[in-house]
Amino acid sequence: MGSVCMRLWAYLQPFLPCWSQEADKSVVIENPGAYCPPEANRSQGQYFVALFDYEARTAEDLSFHAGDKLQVLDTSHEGWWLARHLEKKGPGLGQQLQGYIPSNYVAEDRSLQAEPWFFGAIKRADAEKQLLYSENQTGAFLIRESESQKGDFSLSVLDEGVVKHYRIRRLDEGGFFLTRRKTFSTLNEFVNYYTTTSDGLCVKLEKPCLKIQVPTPFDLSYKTVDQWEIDRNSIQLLKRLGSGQFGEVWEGLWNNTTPVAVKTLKPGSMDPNDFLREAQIMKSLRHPKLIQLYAVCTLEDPIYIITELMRHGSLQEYLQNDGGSKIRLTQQVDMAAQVASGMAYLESQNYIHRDLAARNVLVGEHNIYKVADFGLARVFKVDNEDIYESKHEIKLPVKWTAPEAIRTNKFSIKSDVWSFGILLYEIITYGKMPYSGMTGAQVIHMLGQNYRLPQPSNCPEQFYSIMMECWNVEPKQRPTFETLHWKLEDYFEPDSSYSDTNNFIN
Amino acid sequence: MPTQRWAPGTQCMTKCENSRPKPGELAFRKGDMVTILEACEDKSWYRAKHHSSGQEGLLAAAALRQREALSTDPKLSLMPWFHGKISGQEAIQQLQPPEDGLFLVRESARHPGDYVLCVSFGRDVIHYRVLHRDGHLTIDEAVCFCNLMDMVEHYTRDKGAICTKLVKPKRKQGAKSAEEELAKAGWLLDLQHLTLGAQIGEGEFGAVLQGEYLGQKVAVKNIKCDVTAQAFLDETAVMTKLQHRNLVRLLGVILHHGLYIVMEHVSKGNLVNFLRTRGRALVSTSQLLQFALHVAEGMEYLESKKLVHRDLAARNILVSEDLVAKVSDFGLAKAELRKGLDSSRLPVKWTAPEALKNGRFSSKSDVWSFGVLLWEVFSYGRAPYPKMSLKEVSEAVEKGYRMEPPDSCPGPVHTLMGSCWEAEPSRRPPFRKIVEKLGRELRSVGVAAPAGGQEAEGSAPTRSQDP
Repeated sequence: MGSVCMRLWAYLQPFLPCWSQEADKSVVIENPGAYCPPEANRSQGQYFVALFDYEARTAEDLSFHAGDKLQVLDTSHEGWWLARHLEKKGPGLGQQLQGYIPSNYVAEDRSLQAEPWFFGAIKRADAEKQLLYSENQTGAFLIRESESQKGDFSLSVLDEGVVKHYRIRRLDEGGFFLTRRKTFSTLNEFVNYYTTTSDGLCVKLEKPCLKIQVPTPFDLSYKTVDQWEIDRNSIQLLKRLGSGQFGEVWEGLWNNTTPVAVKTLKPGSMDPNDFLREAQIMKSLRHPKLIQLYAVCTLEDPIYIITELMRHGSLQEYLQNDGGSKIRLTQQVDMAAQVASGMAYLESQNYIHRDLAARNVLVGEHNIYKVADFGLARVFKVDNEDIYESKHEIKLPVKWTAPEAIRTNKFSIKSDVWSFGILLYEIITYGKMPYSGMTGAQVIHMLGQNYRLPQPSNCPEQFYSIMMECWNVEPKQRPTFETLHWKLEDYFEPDSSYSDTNNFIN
Repeated sequence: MPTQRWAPGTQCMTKCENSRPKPGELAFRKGDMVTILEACEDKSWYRAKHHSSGQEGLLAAAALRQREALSTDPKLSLMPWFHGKISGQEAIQQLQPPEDGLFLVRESARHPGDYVLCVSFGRDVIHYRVLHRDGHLTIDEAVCFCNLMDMVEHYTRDKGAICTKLVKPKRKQGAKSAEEELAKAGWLLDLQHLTLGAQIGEGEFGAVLQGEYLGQKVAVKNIKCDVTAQAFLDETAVMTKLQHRNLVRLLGVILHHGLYIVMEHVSKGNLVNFLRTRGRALVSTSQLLQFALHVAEGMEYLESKKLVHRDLAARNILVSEDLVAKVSDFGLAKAELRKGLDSSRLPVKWTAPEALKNGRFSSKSDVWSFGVLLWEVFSYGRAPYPKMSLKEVSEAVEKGYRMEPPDSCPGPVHTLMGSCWEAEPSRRPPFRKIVEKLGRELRSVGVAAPAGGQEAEGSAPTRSQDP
């Protein structure tokens, strides 16, 4: 587990508060301007502040509200820490409440991460998205780490429906400023000053931007971290969301507290032992753009797969429902970039998805897109003949499957890249079926003749060229997901290797 | 004189004659061109292929010599018959005494920018106006040409619409025929042996095609524009001086449809695309270090020859079948070329500040570019200065900004990048020092063989195995 934690670190760092003693020293950004409570109240353990509300899911959990102070007693588990509430009291006099808390809901007290206006390493586009939530008013603001220059910060402010960005400059001897006329030794002083006067800003700073994007806890609870087989009776099936080839998907409730998605599998669709072995791997894969597998029920039919719930369903449906009425290219590129980010993580873990398609990307609140059903295809009992011969187009993964994978039935991360190219087609065409009008057999034949999906009419050349790279006949020549991710992230940035020298030569 | 060991694919000239070959031996005459196929265990002999006859056989090492480097001579001309802007009367004087088929080309004094072909025939000189039509040149509007060289070549073979075949060029005073010099030195290849295939790239000045020459895979750069082709003679001359395993090798040139520059084919394409497709799963840190070391060694060689690359970047590094990195595209290797170009464009993100502002290119500005190339390599092919526009980069670098190290970049490599990006050129290390540092780091990382390696077969092992 230790090596898994270390590999996870690079991906989860923007989302995690401190989780180990050593990490404390390097990760925490000191915030000397913050109020320092009297030393006498301090005792052993670390002091944290809650970033979000959390309502206990089990009897062992501790509930708290954003802004509450907590003392962390045990950080030996990655995702769930034992903590004591510093302000609320239990039934007995003098007894403080304690229980388990999700580690990604808190930040060390007096650290920069603990400030309501500090949003960490989010992108400029993301800052705009969050400030434009309807609950924010003029003067709402946030400070984020600069995208292009580490160690620098940017201020983003909402002014009458428009977000303005300012680079917060640094003094060589430490300290911050917008203009050299007025400098501050801490970001706190900076914020305090500009909440009293606009002084050159478009508007005076008012309330911090609301932190609406609540992170997903790593598991259902502290207990299910190590035991992913749970009691079926702890699950209530509330509402059927959809059905597919291998079963149904339901909105459910775990332990009467926690909304979850439940995939119920048709009896006989997989071997429970195969699935449990795969589930063990899947559960250890954690990334903000991957659906979190919480637990399974395999002791009797139907098998349940319990995952994080994404309220807006599959990307395929989401796109088809929109049909181009509201979703624009910027959002489409963002969808693709988020999927590529999740897939880049799987790539780094040497894990293959095998069934990447818009139907297996789920849509959450606030334009969050996550990859789902990774690895499941391997444990389903599938007769190739049935798939290839099926009369219903909807069941044909052939259209998403790389030619060499069809030929050899061997999948690789490069066959996932091919599928990603088809997913790009689905995104840009608002969920259209690729190769419409063709049977699976025809597709296989045409691909052998070097046929590729033509460029859709609304598809920019730049987007189409990324698709075509994914469909290189030679798997080795297809880009890595790491490359696809930064290409999509930087899609709207000017990128040319050459430029007219007249701009630079005196 | 110590006998050199020629690598397979090397082209050599014969110094003597073997008109009575023994069985298995190759027949040749003095001055013939051969391609080395392999060195025999007996160090005195090679197996080679004759360019003209296509035969393969043995020949003695003592019979071979390396082709001569072409001197960089401003008098060298691909079009020695081009006299520039002269009047019709001057042309007539040049074409004396009369000789059928004696010819020259001039720029019209009366219509600047127009060309005129002047041919001696009988006792007259006939002046044919060369028209521009849709980007092509034509005399009779029935047959069109990409450039003057093609036109002259055509009318040398077939008189077509003009009075007689072109037989003998009247050379401009002082001009040397590049074709003759190239042939004499052994660099002129035979079009008949060249087969062209698909386009494999788009260079700064024209397409790059895959091809085959005497059974050997090649890459062919085709430069159609006369002026650019003439300018590229300089690059060609430079390349004839260079022989290093970390530089893309020049095989020769062909004068046809402008200029064909024929180079060794480097099978795995350019380094930036290689890294973007193979990624971390297939390319280890030690392999990245090897690539960086190969580039540094190639640049060390250029530095020792007092040559400046001017466009060093991962896109201009090619990767061979056995994972050897080779520096290519000396497209801007000469200042004259850059000055002469209409589109004076620079790779801003790779170009050193003093080169950007003052045009001061040197080995030290190449070192700066090498630092950016290091960042590209250890980022697995990412575009440098992410999310920064060219203007932002220029301003930030001026103020002392330097890129953060890529994920998982070894500390000493990042330190080396920093050295390459010293604002003061004289503080940047020479490539010789860079080679030493990378060699040391590679030995400490260990694992891979220094000579090169093999690309992993198939894909990386995955945690979920197929049945």
